[in-house]
Amino acid sequence: MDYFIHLSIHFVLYIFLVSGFCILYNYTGLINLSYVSIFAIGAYTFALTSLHFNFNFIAATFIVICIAIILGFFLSFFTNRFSGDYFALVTLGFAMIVDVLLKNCNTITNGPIGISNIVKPNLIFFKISNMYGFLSLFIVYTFVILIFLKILKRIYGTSILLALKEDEQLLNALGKNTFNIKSIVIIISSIIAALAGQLYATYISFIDPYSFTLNMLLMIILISSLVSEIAKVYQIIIAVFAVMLIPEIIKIFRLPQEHIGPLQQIIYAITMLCIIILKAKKKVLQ
Amino acid sequence: MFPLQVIINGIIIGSIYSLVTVGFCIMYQQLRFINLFHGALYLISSYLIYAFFSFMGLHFLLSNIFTIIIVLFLSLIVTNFFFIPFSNFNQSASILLIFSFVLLILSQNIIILFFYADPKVINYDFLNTPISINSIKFIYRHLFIFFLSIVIIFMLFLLLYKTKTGIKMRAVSDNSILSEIKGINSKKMIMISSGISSFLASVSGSFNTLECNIEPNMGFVMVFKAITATILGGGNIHGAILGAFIIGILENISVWYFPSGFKNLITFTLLILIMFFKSKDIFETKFKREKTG
Repeated sequence: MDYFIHLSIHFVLYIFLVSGFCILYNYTGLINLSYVSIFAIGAYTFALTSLHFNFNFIAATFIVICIAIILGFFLSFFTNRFSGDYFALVTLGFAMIVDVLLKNCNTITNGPIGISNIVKPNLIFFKISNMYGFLSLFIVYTFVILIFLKILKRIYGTSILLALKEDEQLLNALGKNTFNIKSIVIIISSIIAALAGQLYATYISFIDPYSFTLNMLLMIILISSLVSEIAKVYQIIIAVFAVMLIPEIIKIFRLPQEHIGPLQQIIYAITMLCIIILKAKKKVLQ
Repeated sequence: MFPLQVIINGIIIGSIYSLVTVGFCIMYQQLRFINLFHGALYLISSYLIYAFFSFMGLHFLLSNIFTIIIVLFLSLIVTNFFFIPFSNFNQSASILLIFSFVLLILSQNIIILFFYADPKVINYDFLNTPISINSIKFIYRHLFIFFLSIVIIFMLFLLLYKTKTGIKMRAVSDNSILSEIKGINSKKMIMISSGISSFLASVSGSFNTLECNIEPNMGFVMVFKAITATILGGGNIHGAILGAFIIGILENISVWYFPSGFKNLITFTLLILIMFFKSKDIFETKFKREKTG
């Protein structure tokens, strides 16, 4: 039963995380490959502020959101001039920079050892200490994000964000400030990633640079390629469920521990390749 | 101020980087996408040489030849069945980038499955005797790698500028529609470029296996250095070679001042800064192919 609750907490966390990535991809067509590194920075910010300055959960939330806004603005400022694959390239470079910094700045981030004994959340009226409490907290966060997605679709569904995805140069020529629009969407996506990082840090209560790898990025890209329209909630839920089912199926075969991780990533990668090939064939046939 | 030894080290390591960069740059010029699969070819060739030499005990030259043939096949299959058809789409650069990214992760995980993630070394005493000129120290193997890289690049320039195939390749990279009108089979030229690019990746993989240890993450890091060097040099092959040497020298200078864990940081930072400050001309082809869908 405990393992089932642990799985459902991961399930809800991935719904939260993927909705942030999908906001950026479905509304602006940009692929932000540094999404997992913003997740990592959110987790590390919460861990460090609660360790050194004794911030509680709510105060740390404000700090995490501020740092996410600064990072999102930094990212959108540096990549304003291009879109498409050069955006992906620059964000991948940014992700590698964060990776190297997290592994090597031993004075600030404890290097490869990681930070342990992160405090559990202490909201003013509740103290969350067992798994059911964590599950309810995660569900509340995800619920808020899904309502936010519906509101976003209601306000911006058929207007400026769709135009941004179609042809950005035309929108610029017509007089809209695409830098502002892109910045806002990137910042919203970064805030979601950083908040997810804070939740992850307080649940697992131990973080190190090796838990935020490109493998998690591959899983997020796989899930978001199965989601075609972000405002339809059932698509996200089914996609996350299908992708999280795969490692559980592998575990039935009782392979040695060091083979499970790479095998899981190989299956994700082959699935992702098949999805790309099928989508390309569908485009050709149209 | 750093000594001259640092710059000489940078030039030696820059020669290995320049082979990978030229391989990347050839494919970049033909299909105009960031080909992260090039790092996978480099990674696979290093591990295949390690497997042939250390597991099966073949002679080093023979394992090199087998590796070159296998990696050549792999690169031709991937280019023919995936990269060339995908390059006909409208958003081809993003699709190809994500596709090659996933292929790189796939090959990295296949290697971790078979070889485990710890760094490996081969013990092959090839030209290990040291030599010092005016207090600059290196070993004969470094000279061998440097001169062999220069010879290979020189032969590549001869191929590109003096033979008919090279002229056809450059024509296809410039404007593939006009070349097809003139009767050049652009698909065949792209396959030949892919073969040359994989050959360069295998050779530099074998140099890396001789020099340093091999680990699963080096495919990513090396292809990033190739990307930075290409963009630093402006997108053509001459600039790519110069960019590779500059990156080698800058890396060694940064290791002189900062802790060695930050060795790769200079490449990534340089990439972001160059992309920010560089003009947009190198990112857009002059004549885009008519794309479907």
